[in-house]
Amino acid sequence: MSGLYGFLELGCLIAADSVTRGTALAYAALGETIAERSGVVNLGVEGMMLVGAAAGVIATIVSGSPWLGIAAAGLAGMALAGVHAHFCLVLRANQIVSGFALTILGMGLSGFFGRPYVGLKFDGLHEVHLPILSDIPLFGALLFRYDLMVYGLFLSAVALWWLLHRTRFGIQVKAVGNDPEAAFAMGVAVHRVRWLAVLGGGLMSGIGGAHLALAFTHVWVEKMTAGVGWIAIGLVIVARWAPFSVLVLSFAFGGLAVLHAQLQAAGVKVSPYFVGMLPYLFAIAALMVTHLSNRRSGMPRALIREFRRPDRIQ
Amino acid sequence: MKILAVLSIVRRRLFREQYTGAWTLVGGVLVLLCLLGWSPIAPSPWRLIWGVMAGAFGSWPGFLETLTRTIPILLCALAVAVPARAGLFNIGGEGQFHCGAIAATFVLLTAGHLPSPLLFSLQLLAAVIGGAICAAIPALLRGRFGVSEILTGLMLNFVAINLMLYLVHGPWRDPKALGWPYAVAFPEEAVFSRWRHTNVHSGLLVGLAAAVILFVVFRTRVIGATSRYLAGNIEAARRVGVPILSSFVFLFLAGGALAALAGWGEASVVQGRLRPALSAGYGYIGFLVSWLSGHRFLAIIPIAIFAGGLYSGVDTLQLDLSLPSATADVLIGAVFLSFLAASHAWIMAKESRREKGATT
Repeated sequence: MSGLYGFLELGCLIAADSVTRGTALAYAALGETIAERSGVVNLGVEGMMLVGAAAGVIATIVSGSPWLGIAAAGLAGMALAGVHAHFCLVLRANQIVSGFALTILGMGLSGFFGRPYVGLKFDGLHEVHLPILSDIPLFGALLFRYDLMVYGLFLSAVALWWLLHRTRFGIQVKAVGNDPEAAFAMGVAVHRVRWLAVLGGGLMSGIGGAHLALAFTHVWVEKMTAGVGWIAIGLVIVARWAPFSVLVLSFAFGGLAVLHAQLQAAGVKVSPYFVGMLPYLFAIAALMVTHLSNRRSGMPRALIREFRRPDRIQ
Repeated sequence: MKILAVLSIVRRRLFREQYTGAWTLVGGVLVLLCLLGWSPIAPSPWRLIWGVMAGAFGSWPGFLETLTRTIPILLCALAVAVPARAGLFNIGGEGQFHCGAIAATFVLLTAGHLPSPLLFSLQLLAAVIGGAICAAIPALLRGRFGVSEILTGLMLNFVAINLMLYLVHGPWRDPKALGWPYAVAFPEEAVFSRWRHTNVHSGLLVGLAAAVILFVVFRTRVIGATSRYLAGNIEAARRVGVPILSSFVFLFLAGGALAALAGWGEASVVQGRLRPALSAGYGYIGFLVSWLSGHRFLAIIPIAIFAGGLYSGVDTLQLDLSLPSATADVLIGAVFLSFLAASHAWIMAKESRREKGATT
């Protein structure tokens, strides 16, 4: 009995750890999901996360409150996403080009302004231990020992699902992402919907970066996201642009990292770079499988396609 | 009331759609200046721009560093431009860059004892094949199944980078490297030759020659016309009998080979060996450079030199003013976004001129 209990306890701890590790990834991937659902790819996730992390740390250190830090992170991510939206939607620049430029700019800005704060200690977010609930065997660790941003993540995944499938705005987002011309003919303000979706994506990416810095590492390091933003882009593909799948897969990838650490500790040698390859290989496989089996990949049909109003000659 | 009317006229005159690009430039510069002014470590903007330009082009060693940086950027930009002629996005430049370096190192490890000329040709061949394989995957998937080459190419970048990291940390680590994750050093005689003991190597000539040859080939050969058809309308191209799959694959293979040469040159001459941080994002910079040139092979050359200059200029500036290396990224990002805005302004100006010509 005790062997089984120990096993279950370990499982719960690993699962809880995966959730914490996957949170930043999940925030960013959820953000990218909104943007891509409206037909705009934003390859600047990495840049937005970094800017969010740096802004979060700076605001937390200056103001002393991690909540202001999170707000600053969201705003910073949103500002950068606004640049992307302006270039793609107003100036009709290519989405891929603008996204790359955004990543480079975000990496630069966060490194530049975060420079004086590298390695500084600050009091970020901590796990909240509810007095009785968190002491419940097994489930206490699994459900009630997270920082508040993790609960915020669950809330925002539900909210996003609700937004996409149960509200007028969500229907507009999906319509704009699948067939902007038809949506326009039905009277949807295509560019306004896309603007909002891209800004929302930036907000979530910035918050994801903030979780990484404020709740996970508790320190700012240059380029600290280390590719999480790119994983988020691949993950959205594997999750077929569905919010709950994004959530589950993010935790799965978080779990992969935890499992790797556990194996390493147990003496099983697995190269971390092999584990690092997996999300991307999964993404390619997912793209292939859905195309080969003629199933809908869930990919918005107007993804990466720009929209021009047919009633204006430009 | 009159003031309001005047203001609204002024507003309508100033913020016409043609001027959005120009206003974006103005706004972007203002925002950047405010941000820099707020930072405690930033130098004055003139000092920054002047310092970068002087560092990149003002001295002989600086210019050599600029050329060194130009080589991978030029080749990676060409790697993007070739498929782009057929309307394809080669985002996998970074991955093909790494694949080239990996394949060449593989030859070095398995056949390092061969005489130099043979080793050189084998490495060249291996690098080209490695990059081509990495490029063929997105091309095949796109041509055969219609899978977006953008997403697969992007994902393959990180597969290749992780593969390289695995190899140098694992099976290919040189036991003599004192625990550093380095592979065996490339012998000087069997790689691109240096120019007078600088880091500028004959890859530069390869890049320049490739640009000119591609320019001529796309002007005179059938592939130029084929890719124009493909870029225009794939369905129409199919009807006139353009072999779609093989054209896609061919263009991507050519691109992959060019990026792979960049990777081999960077690993073998500049870094001396396969090791982490092989690329300073050259694949991505190449993509932006190619885009800025409008995928015109000859126009890529000056823009690649400019981009190389930005990197080397910030390098020198870093030492002078003790700026963080992130400054280069800020400048590059800002420069590319301003190019995008400027190109919008330019296109708008051209179109409005044409419209005027049409009405009168």
